[in-house]
Amino acid sequence: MVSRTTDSISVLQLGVVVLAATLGGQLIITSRNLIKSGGEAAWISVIAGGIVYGLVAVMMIKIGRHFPNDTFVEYMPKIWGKFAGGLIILWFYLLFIAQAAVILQGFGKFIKYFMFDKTPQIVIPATMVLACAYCALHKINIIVKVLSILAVLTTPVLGVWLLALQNFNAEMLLPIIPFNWPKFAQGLQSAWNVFAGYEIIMVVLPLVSWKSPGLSPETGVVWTFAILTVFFAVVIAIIIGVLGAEQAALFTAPAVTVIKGVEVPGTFAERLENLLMIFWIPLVFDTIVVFMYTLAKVVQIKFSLQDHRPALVMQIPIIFFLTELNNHLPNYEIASKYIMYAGIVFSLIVIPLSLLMVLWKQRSLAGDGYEQ
Amino acid sequence: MNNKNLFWFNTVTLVLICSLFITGCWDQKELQDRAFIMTVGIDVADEGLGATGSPPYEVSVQVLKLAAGASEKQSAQEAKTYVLSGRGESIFEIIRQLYSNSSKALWFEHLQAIIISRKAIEKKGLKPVLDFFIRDSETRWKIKLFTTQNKVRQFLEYQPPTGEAGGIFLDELIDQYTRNPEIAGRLLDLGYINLLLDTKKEVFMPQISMQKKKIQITGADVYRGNTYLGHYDEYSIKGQKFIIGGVESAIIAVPYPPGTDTIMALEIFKIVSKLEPHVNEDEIYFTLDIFIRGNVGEKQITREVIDLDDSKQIIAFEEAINNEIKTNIMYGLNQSRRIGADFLQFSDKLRAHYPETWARLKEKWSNIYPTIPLYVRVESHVRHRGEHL
Repeated sequence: MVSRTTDSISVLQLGVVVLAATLGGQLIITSRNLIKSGGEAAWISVIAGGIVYGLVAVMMIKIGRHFPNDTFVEYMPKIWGKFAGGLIILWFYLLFIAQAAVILQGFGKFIKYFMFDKTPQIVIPATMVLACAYCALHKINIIVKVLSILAVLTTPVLGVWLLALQNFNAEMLLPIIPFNWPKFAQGLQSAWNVFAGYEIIMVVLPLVSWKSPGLSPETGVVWTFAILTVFFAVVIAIIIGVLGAEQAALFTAPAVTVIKGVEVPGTFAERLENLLMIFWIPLVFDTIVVFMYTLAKVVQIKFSLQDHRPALVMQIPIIFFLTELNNHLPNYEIASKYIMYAGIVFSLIVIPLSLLMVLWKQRSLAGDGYEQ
Repeated sequence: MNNKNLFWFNTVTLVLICSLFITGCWDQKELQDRAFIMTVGIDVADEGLGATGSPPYEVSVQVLKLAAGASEKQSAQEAKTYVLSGRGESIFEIIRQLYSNSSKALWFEHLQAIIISRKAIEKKGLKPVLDFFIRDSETRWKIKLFTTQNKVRQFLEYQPPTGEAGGIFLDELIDQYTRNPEIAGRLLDLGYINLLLDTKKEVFMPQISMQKKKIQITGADVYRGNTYLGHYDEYSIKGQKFIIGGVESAIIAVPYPPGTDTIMALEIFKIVSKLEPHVNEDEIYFTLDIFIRGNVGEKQITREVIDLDDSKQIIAFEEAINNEIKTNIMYGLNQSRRIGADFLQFSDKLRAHYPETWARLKEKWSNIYPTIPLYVRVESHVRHRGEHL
């Protein structure tokens, strides 16, 4: 059971944590695969992905409501039994630690390529991991304050992308009809990458003071997903509208390339893609902080530790090792692909089944005359 | 350690750790240690064959001369740039070979223009020539591309009369397309040409030539892959820009009254073009609606002959402008049809609005395109007569 006296956040802050977990590396790193899979209608796949994963997030809260003081580390064994529940916890842990490594590797690659081409790549994720670890050592309410300040940076990031509208051609988004269902399905599959990280809800939910009047966690999460979906769909539509779907898929980072065509005469910052990268750094910082905190919290609860800090310090070399393991390009691409599959199965099968199991058990208990 | 001491210990440790990261970085390179490349010229050698059996590249780079302490007068007289050249099979390799002539690192961040000879495109293909510049993060998307029938090096050695570096001169020269619609310039930089090449579309590049020791833009060359398809003259470029909505401002001078040799000109400041595909069973046609707003810019006729107070005269003048623009558009379209290069976005429009028709026709599009009718409607409105009637 997690102590709520010192570790407590509001529903609004839960939204900030989910935003921080999803807004970081994912869009810039994965936009190419998403557009390659989804074609001209990739932005529609993102909207559909927002609805699907938003519903899964609501399911997570519904499960959490049955175990108000437990994280999923405590309630999964109660739902699935000790062995299967343990496997799900391990699955979650491996998924997050691998995802953190992929984001850090992608971050290191892009920062090196676009900004610091002479800097040894190893230094970039290493510095980031250490900086994130320092922040993640604190309690969640302190972390949320840091995230809230840095989340403000989302606005200029979107602003930089909106500048690309000067080269936007709406016809690049066509044709929508006849609707290409196979492409849409592929795009929907890749859309998990964009929203990846929202699963932290299952760990931080018990820390939310949801009994206080006001916004319910469900409403908070729906609003968060609405913001995320609009943000991601707008950016993907801009990329396709400027570069074209076929061409965007030929660039390593179309989300950055799209800015290269922007010209704002008279401004001191001529290379706006560098500006985007600068704003991107704190967003990745936010994401990795949330990931590291979540991972440490899972270990703390699983092994009944007093504090998440020892677990956090212990996982620094693991994350760093996994990041370096992905240094070779084929490894990185294979890891990204299998992490995506593992994430999709976790979201679309494990969570709905867990909710069904909870409801089924509740009905059985009610049938036997018990009251919750 | 009490709480207060712990706070100060943590703060000092954090500051010390942070200071490690502000000592500089691996990428640090002082301004005076860089050689700024302003223009790159790519040609093929007249003699000899490379290892691949084709003639090797001849690459020239125009480097900015950074002279400290020169007086303004001296500075205006002296050449602002110098040229380095090399020969080889790979453009990247040649550029590294040029380090044997340069004490400073060749720096492409401020590259303004790339000039490629027609011969180099025909022998090597445009995509292979541009690959290095697209792949390298140092080069920008908005680098201007030119082609020429002449040897490239002379353009890099050219010293503009304005005293600026040659690359900057070329960059600003092509930007005049906003004032002169006969210059092909909009969306023809490195990034956009690469997008066209990625989709295997025709590419057109502004052509430059050296006339009386001065650089001049003389229309544009059209390529498909490494095949030269033909040349668009300036009047044709203007017509095509009306079709694709690429004209930002223009002066349209027409004989007025019609059939006479006196001239009246309209200064256009607003143009809206709308090109739409239509598919009616097996019949495909396009419509083009152009709406123009402008002012009377010049009238070489006395007030006794043409009185601009008379609104009938204004309407007749607008009609003359409409006819001239229609003629210009059909001239541009016919040149495009003759060359067989669909740079007018007909295929893009058809793909976007009639994907099934496009899927049926895309394989034989190059044959169908020259036969597709275009119906043009131009509506021009005179907003002001100018300060004097």
